Amino acid sequence: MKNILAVGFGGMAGSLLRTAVFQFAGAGLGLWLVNILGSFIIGIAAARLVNRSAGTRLFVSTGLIGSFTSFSAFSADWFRLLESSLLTGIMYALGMTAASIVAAALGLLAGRKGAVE
Amino acid sequence: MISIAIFGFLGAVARYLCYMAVENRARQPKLATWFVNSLGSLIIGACLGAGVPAASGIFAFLGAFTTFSTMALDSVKDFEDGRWKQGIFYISATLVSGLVLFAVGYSVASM
Repeated sequence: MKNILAVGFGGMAGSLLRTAVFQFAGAGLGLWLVNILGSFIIGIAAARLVNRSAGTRLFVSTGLIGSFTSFSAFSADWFRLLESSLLTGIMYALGMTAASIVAAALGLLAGRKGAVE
Repeated sequence: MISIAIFGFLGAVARYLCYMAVENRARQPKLATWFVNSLGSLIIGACLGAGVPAASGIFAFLGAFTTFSTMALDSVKDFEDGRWKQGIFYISATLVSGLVLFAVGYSVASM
C-alpha cells in the first residue's frame, strides 16, 4: 500500500509538471522536452538511488519521471505526421527515440560520475 | 488541475500494477513497459477517433499510464550489457506496436 501511494503521488506530481511544460512550450515541442529531459533524469536516478529505499525509487523513477514522460501522445503525434509525410513521420519517431536513449545514457553516466566524487 | 492530479495518480498506479503483475510471473519488466505503452496507444487512438474532448481525464490518465523514459533507460541497460539485438528489438517492437495499435483504435472508433 505504501508503494502504491509512493507511485501515485509521484505520478500526480509528474503529470502536473508535464502539463505545465505543455502549457509553456506547446504540446508538440513540450513532448520533446519532457521525454528528453525525463530520460536524462531517470538515468541519473538509476545511478544515484540504487541504495535508497524502494519507496523513494518508486516515487521518483516509476511515479514522477515515469508519468512526466509519455508514450501515448508520442504514438498520436507520430501517426498524424505519417499521414502527412512518410519521411517526416519516420524522422520524428527515430529522432525522439534516439534523443531520449542518448539522454538516458548521459544521465546514467552523469549520475555515476557524481556518485564517485 | 485537480482532474490532472487525480488521473495522473491513477495512471501511474495502474502502470505500477501492470509491472507487479508481469514481474511476478515472468521477471520481465520490459514486457510490462511494452504492454502499458501498447495498450495506452490503442486507447488514446480510440479516444481521438471517437472525438473525446481534449480536457477529458482519460488523456491525463494515459499520459501517466504510458512512459517514454523507462523505455529509453531499459534499452540503454541492454546496450551497455552488449545485448544490442535485444535492445533494438525492444525499441522497434514498442514503436511499431504503439503506432499500429493507435491506428487500429483510431480507425475503429471513427467508423
